[in-house]
Amino acid sequence: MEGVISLSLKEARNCYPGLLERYTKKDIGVFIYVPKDIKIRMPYITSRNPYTLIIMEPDSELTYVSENDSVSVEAYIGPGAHLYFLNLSRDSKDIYTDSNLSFFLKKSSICDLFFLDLAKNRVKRDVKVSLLEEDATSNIRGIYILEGNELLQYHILQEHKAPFTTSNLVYKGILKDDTKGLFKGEITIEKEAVQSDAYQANYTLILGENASIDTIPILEIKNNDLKRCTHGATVGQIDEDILFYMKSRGLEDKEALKLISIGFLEEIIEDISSESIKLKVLKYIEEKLEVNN
Amino acid sequence: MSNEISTNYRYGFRDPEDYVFKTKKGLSKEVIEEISWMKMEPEWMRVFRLKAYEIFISKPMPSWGPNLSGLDFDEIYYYIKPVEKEGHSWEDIPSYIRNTFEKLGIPEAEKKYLAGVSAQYESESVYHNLKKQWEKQGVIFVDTDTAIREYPDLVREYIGTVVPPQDNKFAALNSAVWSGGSFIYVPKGVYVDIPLQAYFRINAQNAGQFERTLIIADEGSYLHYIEGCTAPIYSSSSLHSAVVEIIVKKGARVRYSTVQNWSNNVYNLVTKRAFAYEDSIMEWVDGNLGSKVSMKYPSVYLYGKGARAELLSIAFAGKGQHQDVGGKVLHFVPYTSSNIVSKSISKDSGHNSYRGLVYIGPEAEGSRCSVRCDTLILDEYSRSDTYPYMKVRNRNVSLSHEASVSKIGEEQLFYLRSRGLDEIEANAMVIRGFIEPITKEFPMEYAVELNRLIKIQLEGTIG
Repeated sequence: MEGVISLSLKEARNCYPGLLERYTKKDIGVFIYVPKDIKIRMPYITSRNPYTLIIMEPDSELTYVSENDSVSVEAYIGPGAHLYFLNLSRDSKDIYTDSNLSFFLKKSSICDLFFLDLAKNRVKRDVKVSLLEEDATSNIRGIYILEGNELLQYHILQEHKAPFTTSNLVYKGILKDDTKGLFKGEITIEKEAVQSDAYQANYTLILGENASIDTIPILEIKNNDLKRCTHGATVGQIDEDILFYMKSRGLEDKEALKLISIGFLEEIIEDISSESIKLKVLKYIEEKLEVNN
Repeated sequence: MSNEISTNYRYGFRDPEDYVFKTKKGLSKEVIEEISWMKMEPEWMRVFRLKAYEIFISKPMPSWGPNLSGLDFDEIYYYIKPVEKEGHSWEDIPSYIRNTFEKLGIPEAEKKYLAGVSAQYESESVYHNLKKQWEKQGVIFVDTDTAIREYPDLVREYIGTVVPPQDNKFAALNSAVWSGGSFIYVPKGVYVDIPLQAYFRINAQNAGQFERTLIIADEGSYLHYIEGCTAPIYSSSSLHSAVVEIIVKKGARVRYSTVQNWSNNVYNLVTKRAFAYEDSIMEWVDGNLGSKVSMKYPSVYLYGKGARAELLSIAFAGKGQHQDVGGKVLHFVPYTSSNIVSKSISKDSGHNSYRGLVYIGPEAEGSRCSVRCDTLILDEYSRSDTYPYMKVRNRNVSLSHEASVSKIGEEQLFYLRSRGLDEIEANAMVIRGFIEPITKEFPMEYAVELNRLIKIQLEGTIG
């Protein structure tokens, strides 16, 4: 499409000198540039690049789907722009997933994030959403399912730095077998970020006999003029009564567990706007729940 | 700074200092030997203190939490003995000390329904009055120094078992220099239906207060202990570092209520912990209003099946104050439950932090825990943080955590003012409603005092 740039960083640096300097000094990776008013509705799907720099000019739109595990992204979302970022991570060949993502939002921009973590290894993910200007909005949704002896470590930061900003996070995780999870979700609201609306919810379902979870939802609030600032977290297991009911209707243990798990995650799956990706996510989740069950 | 405080602080009176004995400033082996010698303690306690001192030296200051850089361990008197011997009735107590207590309203309180008043003035208890009926039931309620003399075996068996000196730097400090505090033993099946209470005060400039409280509730007993603090104003920083150890045996129930209103220059660094055994209940009810910096995380270790922990707290942070308070509950065994409710209010650039831990161990199946933290921020200069840690090692549990931050609603204020309340009263009423779930857990006169203190805090800032 007109003016859209998608190049390696090295090439971009040669072709468009001066454009990258403000954002990164890195040379290895991919550069995506969406000019003003350009709306890319088709998902941009990639599978393997270590680092991606996304620059979105005012009122542009981009859907970016990465199926790479160790994805590192820095995205600068211009005024009124809309980034829809999905990271579907599964069947990793790496032994270690280390992912660093930062999103910087300008005035009235929107950043929708979705993370699916089914990776069969150790996952470490740091996500930062920085709401720099008025009316910026970020919705973060995530699902993780761990089995075997997988480990997962999450740190998500929702940073409100300007008035009338909104951030909203809902995460659901299922821990099977001997897995361990650590989920640290942090909301910071600076003094100037009046009328902010910050929400964070983290629900964990423990299925494994030896699974464990640490959840640490942190709030740091330096301002009293807020629309809302709330976080909630729950940890629990499947309700015996529900399981009993389903079994009394002729379902097997396995099948019942799978249905309940999907029901638990459904709220988040439903939120995915792209129909094709929604089906893909559902398929991946079903596959993951099938194994060893 | 000091002027500002003293005009706002209603209990900021002080008596001229008149002490029998005072160690020299700062901490050293000699000072500890001297304290031990002054108290004519048994050898094992002297050794306990010296060991704790070594631990204190070896431990670094906490690297997290509030700023403690204003704290100078060399500028503190670690032991002050105000009067030669303990008074047994109100009349025996020197009149200037009596005056201080009267200003705090203790005699009236006693007249009403207090079982025993164990008033700690400076580092030594000066007044003990335990009602005869409890003595008959075999309840022991004395200051800890007396307990070492009269019940050495009991004290030696339990002291340092719940909070060992190795636990943290300030527990080590307390173990080295402790003085005073309460020792309570409630025998099997005894129900103490009237709260026992002690008032603590700091008086001499730079006097640290290092009381050590040990409570043992034997099987099936019940006890409500109240600890309240108000302290006069001084310009240089004071340190309050107490240790409270509680053992709640099978089927017993202990409630420990605190109203903390140290003056705004006191570092309040306290370690409070309880062990709860089978089917017992441990409740901490905590009101934090004063001090410059508070670090206080009352905790309950649930060691017996079916044990239950309740943590209820209010924190109020005004100008120059940082309340870093919260609680810890550790579930080690099956079918234990806990409930944590924290309410905090920040104003005039005050800083509140809720810092909590819930641990559910691998063996603690069927355990339940719910945590709720609510915060009111009254102006744009104040701050509130929440740091809840939840560690779950068992799948068969239920845990929930909720936190919210808000300000006083415009509509609420508008409604109250349209009913004829002025701004301060309207604000105070909303705040009273906000903290009501906790104040109602205090005995009536404490709830009244708490509400009054909050109103005093609000005056002069709003409106």
